[in-house]
Amino acid sequence: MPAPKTNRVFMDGVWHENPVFRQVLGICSTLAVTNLLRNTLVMVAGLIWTAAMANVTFSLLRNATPRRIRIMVQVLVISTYVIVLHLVLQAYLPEISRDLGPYVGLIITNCILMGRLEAFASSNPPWPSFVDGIGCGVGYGFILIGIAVVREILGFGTVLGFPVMGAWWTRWTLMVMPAGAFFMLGVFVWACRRIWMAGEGKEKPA
Amino acid sequence: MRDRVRTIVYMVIVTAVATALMTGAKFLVEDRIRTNERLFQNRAELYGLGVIPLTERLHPAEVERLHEARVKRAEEDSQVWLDAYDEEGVAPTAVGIEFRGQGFWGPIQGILSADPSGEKIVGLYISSHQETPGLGGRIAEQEFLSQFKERPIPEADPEGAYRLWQPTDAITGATRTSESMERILNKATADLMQRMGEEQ
Repeated sequence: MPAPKTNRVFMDGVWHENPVFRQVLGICSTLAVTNLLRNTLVMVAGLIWTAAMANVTFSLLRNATPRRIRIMVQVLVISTYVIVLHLVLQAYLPEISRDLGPYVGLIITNCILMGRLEAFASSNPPWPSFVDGIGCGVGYGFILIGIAVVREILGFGTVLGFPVMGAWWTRWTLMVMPAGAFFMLGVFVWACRRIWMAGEGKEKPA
Repeated sequence: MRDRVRTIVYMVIVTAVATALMTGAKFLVEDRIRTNERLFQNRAELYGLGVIPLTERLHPAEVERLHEARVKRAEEDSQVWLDAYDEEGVAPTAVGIEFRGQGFWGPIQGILSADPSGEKIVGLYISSHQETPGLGGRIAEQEFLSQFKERPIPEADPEGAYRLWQPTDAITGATRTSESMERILNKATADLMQRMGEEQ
């Protein structure tokens, strides 16, 4: 099978097969960490790292891994990179590590990672798999960052902790709470599917 | 049969390599993580005992020096008691307790301290909690904590309870967290006053 083109693979992850608004994967963390942009950025960086490295590793192992234990191997590979990430955060960014609490560990259970290993890395060479991991991470990231910016502005009147709305702004408590993430996610998925994708002419209503 | 053995051997090898990688990574950063944890704990004790203001961001070496010179920590029956001293390390400036109680989402842990005469609060710091960031999580922010600084400790009521919470501005939208803090702080005050009473 010829290796897929790098650009195409990347754009598939970012847009055509975007994990959040096309596949509706990785929703738990989308809801959990998006009320502060700083935490979201770290979570996104962590997911991009894990997705890229786990994809490469499993791609290298794909021909040697017996099919019946592939899921176990995938979980092991993902866990290894997440634990390394957790240790690095604890060592070099201890305050952010404290803020994120259990969410870093929960990257292991992010469906995007297992999904990409199973759907892409298990049948493609390492380089396209690496690009696929980066693409899906970026695709996941830009939705999360968009939601986080809106939630932080409405919920706190700040962006990355810097005030942008002035003292007159009344904080929307709802935006800080998990329910606010549901609303924002719904709005983002709707906007992506109905407005930006309208020109593609191939998207059917879900 | 051969396939099964190969599968088992393969899984053992992959697991061993993954374990070695994780162990290696831990070995490389273990000291740094331990240092971060100690630094965080020492800084929390300095804030909680009112040795440094909550707005002060000291260099790690200065935190270590101040903690070494001015804080004494004692553990009795799994309860941690803290004492703060002046710059010379002689005259006591605060007596503190490390408290822990149930918040809305999980445990809330921190340090509460009073002056040696037991008349007023000199410090409060929340060292860990699992409340909603930006909502209940604001119990760890300076704006909330500074309400308690210099607050006179009330007399115990007939049931022996100390109502330290009154008059506190609770956190809007985080009623359950505020209620938990009220309960936790009232109990911490009672424990602290009991200990100070026993010592006198």
